[in-house]
Amino acid sequence: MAFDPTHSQNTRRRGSIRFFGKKTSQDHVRAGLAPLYPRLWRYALTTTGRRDWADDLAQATCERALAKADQFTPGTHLDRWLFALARSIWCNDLRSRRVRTGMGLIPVEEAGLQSHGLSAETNLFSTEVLSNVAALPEAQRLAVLLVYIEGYSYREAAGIMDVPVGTIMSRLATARAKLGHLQHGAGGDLE
Amino acid sequence: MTDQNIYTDEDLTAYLDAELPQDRMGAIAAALAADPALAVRLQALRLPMGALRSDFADVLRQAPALPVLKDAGRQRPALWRGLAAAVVLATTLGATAWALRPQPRDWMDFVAAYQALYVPATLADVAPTEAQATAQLAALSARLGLDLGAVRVDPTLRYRRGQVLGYDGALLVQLAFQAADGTPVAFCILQDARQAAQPPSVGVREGLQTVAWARDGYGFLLIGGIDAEAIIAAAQKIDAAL
Repeated sequence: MAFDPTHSQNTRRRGSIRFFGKKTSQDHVRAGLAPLYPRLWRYALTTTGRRDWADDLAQATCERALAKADQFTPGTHLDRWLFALARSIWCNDLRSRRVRTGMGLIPVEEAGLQSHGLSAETNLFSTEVLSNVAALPEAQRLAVLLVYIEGYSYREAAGIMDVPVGTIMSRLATARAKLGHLQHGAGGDLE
Repeated sequence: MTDQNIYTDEDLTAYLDAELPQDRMGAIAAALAADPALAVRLQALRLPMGALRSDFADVLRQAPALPVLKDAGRQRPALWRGLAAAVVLATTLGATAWALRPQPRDWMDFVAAYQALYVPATLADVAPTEAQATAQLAALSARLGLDLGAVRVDPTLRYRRGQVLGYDGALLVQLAFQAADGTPVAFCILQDARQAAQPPSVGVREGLQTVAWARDGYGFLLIGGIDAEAIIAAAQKIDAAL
């Protein structure tokens, strides 16, 4: 059989952890947080660009998830629910900071396109590939994370980011155009 | 010669990501074959996915452990307190939308959820002798009607045990391996005549790297860890050996 690892499984759904017996939604959420925490933290780091903010955002997302666990349906995808929750917390926090600093209300999407200065201050993005991804505007680097690293379909990523599918496609196209130069230094695994 | 301007970078990106309907995929493939300039544009959009995934996997390893969380309902940090109303609203809408979506699950989702519970210690004390391993695999081969004798083809994966499981009335065999660093890896075989042949595809489930394929009435899934290259390489060897 021809082996083609580039054939993507992106459109497949990934299950959240399923537990049996009569457990409350909060039990499901609580049990699911630890295994998902590294991915949630990476999402927060990609969003905020700073380790301390990522710690805060990931933790706040978990606490909010526990507080709102009755809104989570066991058997659905806890990872996506957490990412969408983190997205919402971050956007609302950003907006309120801007209000407090006198910059007035701005659309969430516009806030989402601001770069938050991912930089060499953290060596978390030390490789050439990561530093180039980190230099993308927030919305584009999150699209790259969700689709190419987390493996979500465009539709699933759009659900998490709460934008139309076409917006995800457009962000990925722009990101690919900006990152295209990386392929010259890479091996043969271009996709 | 096609007019390459009819295809945008978005179209080409969705083509690279296999996110277009079949007819659209075919039309772009034909245009690429006929139009070198379009092929150059496509080439410029390609990314070194292996390096990208491997670098992001390194970031994952730097993640801190889950911190001690405040109990739900207690006072929240001042930074977040003022946002509660907006978040409640957004979360309610979001959760409702998610809850209403259909969520099909397949056997691999169940395997992944089970595999997510494996830690290196799970298999630490399971070390069959060569004779025991051979006997286990022979018994499982007979049950499956599939020769698993050559399944231990990847020297980086140490065979630990085989288990007979079931999924929806079908026989499911799980072979547990450990990588050199202790990472649990499972090779699972579902015996199901309804299973349509599928070429190998790479994915992530429950945060675990997977390669899945199917042929001859068997579904195969290799799953474990976050090292995509290692899992892909092992899957290639196993697929070739079976």
